[in-house]
Amino acid sequence: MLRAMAISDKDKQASPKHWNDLVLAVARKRDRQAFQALFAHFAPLVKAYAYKVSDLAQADSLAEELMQETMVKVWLKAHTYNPQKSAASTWIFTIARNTRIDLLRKNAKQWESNNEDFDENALSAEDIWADQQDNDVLESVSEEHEQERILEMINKLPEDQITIVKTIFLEGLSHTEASEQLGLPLGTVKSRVRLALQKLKLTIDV
Amino acid sequence: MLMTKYHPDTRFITDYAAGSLPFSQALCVSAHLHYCDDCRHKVEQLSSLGSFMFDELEAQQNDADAMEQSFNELMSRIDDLPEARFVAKSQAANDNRTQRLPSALHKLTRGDLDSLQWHSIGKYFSYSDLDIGDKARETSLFSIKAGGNVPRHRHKGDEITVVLKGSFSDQDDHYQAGDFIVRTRGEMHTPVAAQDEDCLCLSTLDAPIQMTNWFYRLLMPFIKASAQSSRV
Ligand SMILES: [Zn+2]
Repeated sequence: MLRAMAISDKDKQASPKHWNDLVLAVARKRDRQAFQALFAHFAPLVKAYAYKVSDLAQADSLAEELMQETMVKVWLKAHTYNPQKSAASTWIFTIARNTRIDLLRKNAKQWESNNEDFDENALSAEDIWADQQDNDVLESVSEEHEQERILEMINKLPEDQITIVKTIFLEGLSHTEASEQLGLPLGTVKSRVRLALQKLKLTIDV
Repeated sequence: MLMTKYHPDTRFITDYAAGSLPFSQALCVSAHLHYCDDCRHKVEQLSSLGSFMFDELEAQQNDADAMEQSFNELMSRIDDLPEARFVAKSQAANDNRTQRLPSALHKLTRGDLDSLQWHSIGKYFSYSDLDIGDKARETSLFSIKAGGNVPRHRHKGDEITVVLKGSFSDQDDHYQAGDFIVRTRGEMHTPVAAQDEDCLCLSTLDAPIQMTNWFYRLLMPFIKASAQSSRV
């Protein structure tokens, strides 16, 4: 355990490749030490991600469940991870995102009717949101120094743009919901996101 | 290759990548991605952006003992899982992209469109409701026979249509497999399928409850009401 903790202390500097290799080690030989290192870094982030949902009453019960569910899936799906397609941290974020969608949907369903069984054949988030997009080449955005560059640029964005981008990506609010919560016209939300993405030079054609 | 002309705009792609797009609309975006390399790249880029912000969150760190306990609980849960829970690698494979329906629809139809319940309206038009658990919207597959048309209608809510097979035209343009078409409230149009092939589409419509009355249904029989008794 001390080893894993030590990793988590210095892992702010860990390269994306470090996480890729740990996922691959889990995939190849069910490596528990590698998995524990992933856990030490990502479990607290997944919990933090749960606490970002706007409904805090839900967040408390969500956090532990989301973290456990996400990490179980990381273990079970490690062999489907392809480092050519995305960085491990993006892959884990995607799994957490999908799991959060499903847990929130399940909760909403339970509130609507208590006796409705969860249909095994029903679509789940991973049917609609692939863990990794089926692209042939890794986009430069996932490469080593790209994360640093983008984070630096995010911090240079005007406050109003950062707020919206974070609301959308972390709190799980759509453009429409963000416009309601922030009391802004939908058009303003759209144009701020567009401007932010243009500045980050993420998409050619936003 | 396919010539997809109509793509989800930045708003749809961003909300999709962030995971906040309503389920039925996300189904439509994922159907488009099945046909569109460009948008798949955009989604991957935006997912990376999301993961960078995720990486910067203030970690909800517990003390070492609590972390160890939490990890041990996780591992004993994992050790109790049946071997079958390991996800087959082939499930992630997307072979025969051009042959098959988008994977979510493939799952819903169990690979066989005839396994769904279809309702015909007139000679050319039929639809099948998809229950995907998004109660705020009507989601369905619809099919227009080659050369046939959909009765002229006015949109009462915002609607997304994705062409899955074949093609259709309306007064504005010609739409082919993969095209992601957004119609807003109040727009009128009369889609006509191409002469040589049946046209299959996925659509989802914002369906406020107050619209689901008989008058509305008689006017626009093929946009069925959400409160149809069979579903309750
Ligand atoms: Zn596209």
